[in-house]
Amino acid sequence: MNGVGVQAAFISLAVLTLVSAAASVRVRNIVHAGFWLLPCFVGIAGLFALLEAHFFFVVQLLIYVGAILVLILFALMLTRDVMNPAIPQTNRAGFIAGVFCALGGLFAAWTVTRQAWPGASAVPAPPAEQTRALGADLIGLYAVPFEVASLLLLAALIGAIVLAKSESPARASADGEPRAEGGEERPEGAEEPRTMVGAGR
Amino acid sequence: MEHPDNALTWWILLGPLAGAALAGILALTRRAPAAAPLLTILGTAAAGAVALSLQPARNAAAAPHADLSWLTIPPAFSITLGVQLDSLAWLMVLVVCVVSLLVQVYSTGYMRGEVGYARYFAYLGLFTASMLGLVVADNLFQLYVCWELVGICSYLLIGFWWHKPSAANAAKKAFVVTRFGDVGFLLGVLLLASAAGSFQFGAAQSMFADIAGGVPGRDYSGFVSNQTLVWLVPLLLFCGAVGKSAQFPLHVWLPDAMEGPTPVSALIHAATMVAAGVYMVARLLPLFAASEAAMATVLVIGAATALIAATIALVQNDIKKVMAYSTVSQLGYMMLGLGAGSMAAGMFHLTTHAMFKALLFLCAGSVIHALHHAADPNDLRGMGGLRRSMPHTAWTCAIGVLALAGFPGFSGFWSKDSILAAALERGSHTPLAYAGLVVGIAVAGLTAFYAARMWLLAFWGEPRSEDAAHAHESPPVMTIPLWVLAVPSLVLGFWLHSGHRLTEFLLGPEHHEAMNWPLAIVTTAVAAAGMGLAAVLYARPRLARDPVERMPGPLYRTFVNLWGVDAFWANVAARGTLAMGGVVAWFDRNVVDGLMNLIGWSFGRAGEGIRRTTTGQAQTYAAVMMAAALAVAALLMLFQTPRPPASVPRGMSIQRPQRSAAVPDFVHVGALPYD
Amino acid sequence: MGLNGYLIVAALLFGLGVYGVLTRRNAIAVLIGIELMLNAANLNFLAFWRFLAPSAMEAQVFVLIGITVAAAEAAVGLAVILNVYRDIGSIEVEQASELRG
Repeated sequence: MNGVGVQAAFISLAVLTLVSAAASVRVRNIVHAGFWLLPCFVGIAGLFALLEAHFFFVVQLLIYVGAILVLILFALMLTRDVMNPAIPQTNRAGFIAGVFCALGGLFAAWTVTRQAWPGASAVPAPPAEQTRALGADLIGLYAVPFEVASLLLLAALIGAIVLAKSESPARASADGEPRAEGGEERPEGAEEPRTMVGAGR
Repeated sequence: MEHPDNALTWWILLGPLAGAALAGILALTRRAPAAAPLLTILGTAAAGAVALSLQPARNAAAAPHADLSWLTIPPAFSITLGVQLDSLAWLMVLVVCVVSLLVQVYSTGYMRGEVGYARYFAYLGLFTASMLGLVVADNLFQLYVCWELVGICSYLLIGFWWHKPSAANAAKKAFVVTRFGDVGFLLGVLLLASAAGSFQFGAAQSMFADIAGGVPGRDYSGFVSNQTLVWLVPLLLFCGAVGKSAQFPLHVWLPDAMEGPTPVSALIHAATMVAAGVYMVARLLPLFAASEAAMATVLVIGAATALIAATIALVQNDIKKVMAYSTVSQLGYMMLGLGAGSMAAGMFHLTTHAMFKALLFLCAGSVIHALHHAADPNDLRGMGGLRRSMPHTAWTCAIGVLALAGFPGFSGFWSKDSILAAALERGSHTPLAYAGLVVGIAVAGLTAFYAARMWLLAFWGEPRSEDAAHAHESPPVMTIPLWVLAVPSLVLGFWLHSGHRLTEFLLGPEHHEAMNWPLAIVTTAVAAAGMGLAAVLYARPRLARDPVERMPGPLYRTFVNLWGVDAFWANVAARGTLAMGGVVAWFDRNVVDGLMNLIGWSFGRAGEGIRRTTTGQAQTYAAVMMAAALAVAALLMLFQTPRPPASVPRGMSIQRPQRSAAVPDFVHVGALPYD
Repeated sequence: MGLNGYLIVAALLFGLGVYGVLTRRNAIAVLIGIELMLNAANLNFLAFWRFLAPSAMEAQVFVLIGITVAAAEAAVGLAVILNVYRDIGSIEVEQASELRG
C-alpha cells in the first residue's frame, strides 16, 4: 500500500479533514460550524478506508455523519436565535488557548513520531473476514463490554428523554421562570432569549 | 568571745523585719494602726540590744557571725547570707539602730492622725532591716541586694503621700537616678566576683593583695588584665556610691526627696541610707587604695560635691532644701576623707554627721509641724522669732547648727578636722589632696554661713508671718528625741577622738592620728568668720530682703539654677531616653508589627489570588486539566528510559483455541456454536 | 506515509478539538470540539491497529465502543444543555458560573 496513489489519497484526505475541522472551530456562524463537520467526518471515514478498516469506514458514515451530525444540526437549528449574534464566538482566552493547543498538538505529533514503533509483518484480512472476526469477538470474547455499551445506550436514551422533558404545567407556573435571582446579571448586550422548543414555558 | 558563730546575731535582722511584717499586716487589715509603731520600735530596739550585747572583733574571722548558705554551685562557688559583726559593721549597726529608734519615736508624734500611719511604720521597719542587712553583710551579693532594698524603701517613703504629684515624681526620680549609678555598681560587683571566684569581701581583698604583690602569673578575670582590674573595679563600684550617696553629678535626687515626711528625710536621707555609699567605700578601701586613679577620683568627686552643694545651700529658702544640700555637701566631705586614704576619718564624720544631721532634720520637722497651717510651712521667709515660742526646738537646733559648722568642742569639729588632717597628710603623696584641703576649708566656711543663716532666719528676730506668730512647741514625744540627739552632737566627737578610741576600734591599736592643731585653728577661724558674717547680716529685728540676693548676679543665678545639673539630666537622660524610645517604638511598629502585618496581608492576597482560579467556568477547568495532562505526559516522555522496541505479540496475550497452525492467524477458529 | 502520518493527523485533529472546547462560547460548539477529539482518538487507534497488530480485533472493539459512547454522550450532552438553558436562560458557557468563588 505504498503507491503514489495511496500517498496522494492520504494527503488529500488529511488536508480535507484538518481544514474542515479548523473551519468548524473557527467560523462565526454556528450552523456553518456544524456543516463544516460533514467534510471532516467524511475525510475521517476516508482515512479509515485507507487504513483498511472497512467496517469503520461505513460505521463512521452511518453513525457520525448520519446520526451525530444530524443531531448536532438539529440542535443548532433549534437554538439559532438564542444567542446574541453580535458577541464574538470565541471567548477571551482565544489567543492563549490557540497558542497552547498548537504547541500541544505539535508536541504530541513530534513525540509520537520520535518513537521507534515496531513494524508488523502481517497484513489485515479482507473486509468480510474482518467483520466476521469482529462480530465473533463481540459476541464471544468481548460480550460483556458489548452488553455494557448497550446498557449505556439505554441509559442515555432514557436519560436524554427525562432531562429534556417539558415540565408539567403545575410545576411550570411555580418555578418555570429561568432563575435569575441572587444578582446574576445578564451579559451586556444579551437580548431577551427566545424560547427553545420544549423549554416548557 | 573567741568562738564567733552566734545565732543571736540573726536577731539584728529578724527583729526589725518581724516588726515591719506585723506592722504591714496591721496596715493591710486596717486594724489598730496605733500598735504599729510599738512593733517596729520593739524590733529595732531588739536589734540594738543584741548588737550591744556582743563584742565585735576587728578581723572578720573572730567576729560574731551567722551564715546561711543560699546558693551553692559545686565545686567551689557559694553565696551566703548572714550577719558578720566586725568593728565597722558594729559601729554602723549602732548608728542605724539609734537613729532609727529615735526617728520612730518622733514619728509617732509627727505622723499622728495621718492616713497610712501603720503603713509608714511598716516601711520604716523594712528600711531598718534592709539597712542593717547591708551593713552586716560579709559579701557583695548581700550588700547589693540590701542596697537595692533600701532604695525601694526610699522610693516607698519619699512617695508616701503618693497622691501628691510632686512626691510621686520625686520618688521616681530618686529611684531612677540611684539605679543609674547602680548599673556601674552591678558591673563592678560581677566583675569582681567573677575574677575573685566568690562574692566574699575576704576573697576580693586577698585577690587584690596578690595582684599588688605581683603573685599570680595569670589574669584573674577572663575579660580584662590584672592591671585593668585594679582600677576598673573600684571605679565601677564607686558609681554606685555616687548614686546612693548623692555625689556630683548624681546628687539631683536628694533635694527632691525632701517631698517625703521629715522624719524620713532625717533617717534615710541624712543619717543612714545615703551613708551606705560611704560605708561601702570604707569597707572596700583596700581595693580602692591599690589604684591611684580610683583614690584620686573619689577625692576629686568628694571635694567637688562638697563645694557645689554648699554654694547651692546658700541660696535656698526652703528649710529642708538647705539641709538636703548640706547633707550632699557633708557626704562629699566624707568621700574626701576616704579619698585621702583615711577610713577612720570618713567613718568618724559619718557617725557624727548621722547624729547632728538627724537632729537638724527633726528640728526642721518640728518647725514644719508647728507651721503646718501655712501655705508653705517649709519656707524660711515665713518664719522668724520661733526661739521664744519653741525653745526646745530652737536650742537643740542651735546645738546641731554648731556641730554642723564645726564649732570647737562640738562633734563636727573633731570629725571635720580629722578629714582635713588626712587630706593634708595625703598631700605629700598626691598634690591633688592639697586642692581637696583648700576646698574643704572653703566649704567649712560656707557651711558655717548657711547653717547660721538658716537658724537665724527660722528662730531669730520677729515672726514674719501670722503662722509663725501663732506657732507653739511640739509635744514631748517629738522634743525628747531632739534632746537625746543633741547629746551626741555635743560630746560624741570628743569622746570618739579622745584616746584614739575610734581609730583603734576600727583599725587596730597601732593606728594613731594626732590632732593637727594649726589646721584646726585655721578651720575654726574660717568657720567663725562664716558664722559672724551670717550673724551680721541676719541677726536683725527686721529683714527687708535676703542679703544673699546681693551676691554677684552670675554667681547667684548659677547657684539658684543648681549649677544646671538637674536641667542637664532632664535633657540628656530624660529626653534622650524618650528619643531612643521613639526610635525603638518606630522599629516595633513598622518593622516588627509590619512583618506580622506583612505575613497576614500576604496570606490575604494569596487567598485572593487563589480565589480567582475558581471562575465557575467549565472551560477554565477544562483548560487546567488539559494543561496538567500535557505536563504529566511531557514529564513522562522526558524522563522515560528508552525501552527496546518489543515485538507486539500476535493477537494479544489472551489464549485462543487454535485448530491448526496452517490457518492464517487472524482467522479465529474456535469452538463457537455458530462457527 | 506510514504510521507517522496518521499519528500526526490525529494529533493535529485532537489539538483542534481542544481549541474548540476551550474557546467557543456556544455550548453546542463545545460539543463539536468534543466530537473532534473523539474522532482523533479513534483514528489513532485504527492507525496503530493497522500498522502494529492488524490481526488483533481488540482495537476494533475499542473503537466501536468508543463510537457508541460518543453518540450517547452527544445525545445526553444536548439534553443537559437544554436543561441548563431552562435554568439560566442562555446557552453561553460563560453564563453557567454559579460556582464562581
